[in-house]
Order: sequence, then structure tokens, then C-alpha cells
Amino acid sequence: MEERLLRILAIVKTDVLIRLRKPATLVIFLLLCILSYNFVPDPATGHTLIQSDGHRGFYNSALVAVGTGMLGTFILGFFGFYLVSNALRRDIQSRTGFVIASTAVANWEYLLGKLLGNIVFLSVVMAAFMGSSMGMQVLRGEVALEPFVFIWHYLWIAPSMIVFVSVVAMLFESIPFLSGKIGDVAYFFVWLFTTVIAPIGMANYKTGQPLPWTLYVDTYGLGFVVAQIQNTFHTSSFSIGSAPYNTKLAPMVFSGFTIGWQYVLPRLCSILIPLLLMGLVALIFHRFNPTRLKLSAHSGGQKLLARLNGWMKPVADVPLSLLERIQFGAGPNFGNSILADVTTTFRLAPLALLVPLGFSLVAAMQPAAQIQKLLPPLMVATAAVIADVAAREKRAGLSLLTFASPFLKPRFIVWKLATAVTLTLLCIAVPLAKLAVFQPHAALSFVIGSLVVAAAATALGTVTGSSKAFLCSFMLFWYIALDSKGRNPALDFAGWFGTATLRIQLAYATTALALIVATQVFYLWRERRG
Amino acid sequence: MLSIQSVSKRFAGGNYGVKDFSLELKGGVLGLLGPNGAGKTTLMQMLATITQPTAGTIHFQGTDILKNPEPLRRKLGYLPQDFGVYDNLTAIEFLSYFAALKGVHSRARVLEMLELVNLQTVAKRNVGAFSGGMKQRLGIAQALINHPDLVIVDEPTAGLDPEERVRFRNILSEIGFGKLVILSTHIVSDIESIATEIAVVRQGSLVVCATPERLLQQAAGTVWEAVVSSEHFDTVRTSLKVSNAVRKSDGVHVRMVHPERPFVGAVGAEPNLEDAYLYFMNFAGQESLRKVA
Repeated sequence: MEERLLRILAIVKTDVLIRLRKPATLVIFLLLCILSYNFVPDPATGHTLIQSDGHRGFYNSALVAVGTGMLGTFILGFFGFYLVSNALRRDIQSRTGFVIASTAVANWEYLLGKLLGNIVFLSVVMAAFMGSSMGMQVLRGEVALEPFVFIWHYLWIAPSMIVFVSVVAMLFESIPFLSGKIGDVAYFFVWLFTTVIAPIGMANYKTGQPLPWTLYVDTYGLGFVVAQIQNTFHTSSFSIGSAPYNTKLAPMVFSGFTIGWQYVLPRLCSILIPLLLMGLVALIFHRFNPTRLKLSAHSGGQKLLARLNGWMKPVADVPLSLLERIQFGAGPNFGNSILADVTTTFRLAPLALLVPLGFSLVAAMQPAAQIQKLLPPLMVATAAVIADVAAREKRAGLSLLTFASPFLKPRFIVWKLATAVTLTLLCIAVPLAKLAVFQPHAALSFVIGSLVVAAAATALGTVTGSSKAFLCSFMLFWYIALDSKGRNPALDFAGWFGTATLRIQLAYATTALALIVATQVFYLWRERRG
Repeated sequence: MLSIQSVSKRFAGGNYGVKDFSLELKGGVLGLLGPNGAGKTTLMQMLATITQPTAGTIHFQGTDILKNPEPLRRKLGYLPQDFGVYDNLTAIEFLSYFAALKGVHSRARVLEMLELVNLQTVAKRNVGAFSGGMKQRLGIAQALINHPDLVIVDEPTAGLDPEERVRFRNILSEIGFGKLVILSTHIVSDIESIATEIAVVRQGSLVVCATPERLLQQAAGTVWEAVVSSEHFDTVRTSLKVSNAVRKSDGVHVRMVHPERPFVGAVGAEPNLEDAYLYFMNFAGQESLRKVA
């Protein structure tokens, strides 16, 4: 047994070390510091972390821990999946999995090691976030920091999320259909579903009643927190996250969770129930059997996409042949390189051609007043088209070959941005033209928002060498922006609701520019390092 | 030590990766020789218990490894083709990881292996910065760390420079008495100095398995040399199996493999392993040749 334990520990230690040493982990920690800074505003600004019926929450350790813990859990519940969803893939791609499969390591030892590796890494990230939130309590708190109170409250909220995300990442990696981009997108909907399930259950909850069943699958601890706040303040109207409050009302004091046995079982179940899925993971685990891996590569979602692209190929050939005839003068030049990259995007995935064609057709038929409703889905589709543009050379090992072409090495970032912008314009041209006639202000926002998305795709694709970081960041922001329904003009980045002011538009335009400048600096630095 | 009986691997599409393959091996170094796509990797993966054959049996030291792979896995060292590394671990961390998975917890053994593959000076450097040869050496170190009785290395010299190839061959030849090393390659020079037996594989089937000396004996009388004009060389090259050609002032010096004298003027030459390999791959009937073994 000791031997098995040592093997499991070796897997956990190696997985955590590999992840912690990635430069991206440092970026994550920095982002977490920035997030906690934003989550805990100075009450003097008229904004507060938690407000209820206009009362702001008094900044003590319990309140700041609950507020930041909830927000951190939501965010890590989403991004955490993308951080840990390569535990098995790494061993397949490096072929170290074949070596592991030829050792005496049992399947359950390997899977348990990988699961614990996910859990430990996410716990470290959550602990770092908690640490930066404690820093905010020191900075903005109204009483001294109580570290153990902080830790106590985090322990009631975060573990269920950490276990859930770790298990789902393993499950998605084990199911061929969900082990790639389809899984990355599918997880977004899993996340959405799990964020609403507990609040739905709590909708009709009254203090003193038995807790609803949804609290037993309360991944993010939201139902538990709602019950606690309701019991303390006897209201279900409250918000977490930087929000305005009534400065004339006295602050309310939250002195911490009131823990009774009725909460222990639901919280424990929320941690343990996801672990049942590991049984399924163990059943379908391939143990790096090349025959099963080969079958996986040609099954499920990838096979379906490949088939659809195959069917689309002859249809796409006509417009693409026409597009390829366009030339900016003879011989190699930068304009022709951009055009070649644009057509390559459609040649690689002919299905993508349906986006400009389909949305142009729909926009042409849509009444002008309805055109704004088309913008959110159009933006998602456009993001899917451009997501891979900046990352595909690196992924396919073609970077050096590409750099041997004239102009491209020194202008790689501009080239990729130009391709992404051209593709975006192809996708949005007709809806944009129609919007510009009737709502020029919203049209300007839409152009700026599209540029931000193109810049983000270029930046994140170049830096990470994958489309994953861009797609998951975009989806989260897209959801938050859509969910705000224009109530917060700062989130109306793409003119969906027409509420963004000129200042907001300018801020987004500056963001796009800053992203590209930062990416260019990063690219030059990386090239210089060789 | 290792008994492979009528092993076949049939893929979902109906194609065979390995077909009716039988072999009995004791100790020493077996060179598994065959062109790309011959089924060497599939065979090695079955021997390494990573994938199961669709027919046949494999016994290692008397144990059926298809039913009970555990005993073999404890005594196995495996280096797959295109072995990769975890870029942001140091060499010592990387090797310690695989040592732990194989039940080896001695730091001294890890250091000993790094010394064996001449990586001791870079033990604390990230393996992501290693050259292909260094990564491959790290791969062989992990394969040997548990004192294996059976070592399986798949195309280990691919991508290595000549010096690295020599170093690699030396390491494998020094593994020791009483152990079995199976090395697959499509480059004859990789195994000619170290293999105690050579198995030639073609389209998933065993063509021949014998000692290098026996293979050379069998190929005797099938190698020819001649000096031909440049014009004649084109005809020779397309119609005969040329194993070597050197352009000189008096014409092209051609070395050919053919069961009979290919043309008047060609003189018989002593075969080397490269010639023997070409002979078995191109001219030998499988049934008659198996008797050689």
C-alpha cells in the first residue's frame, strides 16, 4: 500500500510542479490580485462588496471572505476547468503516457493522482486569491484582519467547486467527444447550469424551512450563502460584487456563518457527489492504448466536424476560388499574405464560410429595428472563426516555415491582426451596414467591440499558442455583457444595447490598441530570447 | 524468456498491423528491422502491454502477459518512439518521477542513471531546453532505471546525430548479461554492431529471425559489384536492387543485390548486413526463410 501511495504522490507532485512553473500561472496570480482589488471597492467611492436593500456590508473578515470567496469561486469555477483540463492530454501528447502504461501503476492510482493534482493546483490558486483578498481586508477593512475567520469561510464555500471542476475536467478528457474544443465550449454551458441550479432551488426558500435539495449539489456554495444571509438579515435581496449602495443607510454587520448540522450534510454532499463521476472516468479510461486513442481521434465531435467540413468543401470552393483571384499586385507582398491567410482560414474549415454568408443573408432580411438582436450570436460566430488564426502556425509546428516567407517574421502580429480584422469585417459587413444607417452610435460600438475581440484573439493566440484562452475569456465576457442587458453601460462593449457612452467606446478602443502593443512587445521579447 | 506465439493485431478497418507473428527469444539484443509501417511499433506496443493483440499469446518468463501483465510491467523498461518530456521539469525531477512510478525511490540510482547517459552536468536544467539527443538519452535513462529484464526501445536513434547514435548503441550493448533488449529501427547500421539476433519484419509478418552471421551466410552469393557507364546506370538503378553506388572517373561503381548474376561483367561480392536486409526484404520467400531461424 505504501508503494501505491508513493506512486500517487509522485503523480500529484509532478502535475502540480509542471503547472506552477508555467509562466501563465504567474499571470493568473497577478490577475487574481487585480480581481480582488476590484472586488473590494473603497466604500468612500459609493460602491461596496456586498449590499442588501441599499445597506452596505461592514468590511470585516467574515463579510470580505464571503464576498470574495463567492466571486472567486464563480470565476475559478469557470477558468479553473481550462487550467486543469490537460492532465491526460499532456501525457498523450508527450507520449510519456505510453511509458506510464507500461509500468505497474494501476489505472485507479493514475486517475486518483491526476484528480488530486487538479485539486491541489486549484486549491493553490484559490489560496492565492484568498491571500490577495486578505490583503484587501488589510487595505480597506474597517476592523483588523482575522486570517482564521477568512480561511473558515472559504472552507465552507470553495472545496465543492474545486472538486467539481477537477472531476469534470477529468471526465471531459476521458470522453473523446468532449476532449477537444467541443468540450471547451460545452463546459461553458455546464458552468452556466451549475451557477443557476442552487439559486433556483432557493427562490422559494423561507427561513426556518427545510433546505431545498439543490443545496446538496451546490457547486459554488451560492445556495448555502443565500441561506446564511437570509437567516442573518431576513432578506433575499442582496448583491455580491462591486455595486452602489445608499450612503445614508447604516452599514450592516455580518458576523459570519451560523453553522448548524443542517448545513454540514449538504456541503459534504456537494463535495462528494461529483466524485461519483470518477467511476465513469475509470470505466472509460484508455490507459494510453494506441488503438483506443486512434479511435478516439476519429470519433465523436471531431469526426462530425470533419464530415461537415468535407461536405462543405465543394460548396466553399466557388467563393474561395473567387477570393483567391484577388491580388494586390504581382509577387509576394503583405496584402497578398493577409489574403492568403484569410482564404486559408476558410480552406481549413469550410464550415466557417457559413458565418459571413448566413449572417449576411439573415441581416439582409431582418427588419432594421431587429438588427441589434443579431449582434450577440454574430459576435460568437465571428469569434469562433478567428479564434485559431494567431495560434495555428505554432500548433502545427509551421512557425519557422511561415517566418521564411517574406515580411512575415517581423510583422507577424500585424499580419495576424489584419487577418482577424479582415475575417471579422467579412462576417459583420452586412449587419454593420444596416445598423450604421439606423443606429450609427451602436454601429460604432459594434465596430470597436469587434476590433477588441480581434485584438484579443490575436493577443491570446500568440501568447498561449492555443485558441482556448481566447475562447473561454471571450465566452465569459460575452455572457456577462449579455446578462447585464445594457444596465451597466461599461459592459455594452459592442453596441448590443446602444448604452455605451463615447468615453466607454474610447476606453474599449484603447484596450484593443494596448492589447496589440503589449502582444508586439511580448513577441519581440520572445523572439529575442530565441 | 519471451515467447510470442501467432500474434496478430487487426485494426478496426480490417487491416493488420501485425499478422501471425511468432518468435522465441532468450537474452541478448534483438534488432527488429523493417521499413516504416512494417508493424514494428505495433508489435513493441503489444510486448510493452500497452495494447492487446487480437489473436495469439505472449509469455514472459513463463507468465501470460496478456492475462497478467503486472509481473512484466515490474521488469520492463520501455522507450516509445518520439518520446517527449515535461518541458518545465529538471532532468533530475523528470527522472525521479518515472523512478517513483516504477517503485525506485533511491536518489543515488537517479544520479547513477543520469551519469550513465552523460547528463549529470545538466541534471538541474529544465528538460525543455534539451536537444533531441539529450531528451532521447533521458528517455533511455528512465527505461533502465528499474533494472529491467526486458528493455524495449522503439526507433531510439531517429533524429540523433552520428555521435549520439554511437553513444546510444554503446549504452544498449552494455545493459548486461541475462537481459533482453528489443530495438526497432529501419537503419541497419544502428544494430549491426550490437544485435545478437536480427528479425526482419515486412507488412506485419516476420520474414526471418537469425543471428547476423546466419543472415550473412544466407545472403551469400546474392551480392554483385560492377562498374557501369552513367547512361547504363539509370537502367541498372531502375531495374535492379542497388545497395550502393559511387561515381568515379571510370564510371559508376554499383553494388547490387540479386539472387542471380544480373548481367555479364558483374562480379560476386561478400554481403554485409545492409545487403542481407535488402535481399530478405525483396527476394526471399517467407516460408523457406523461416527455416533459417
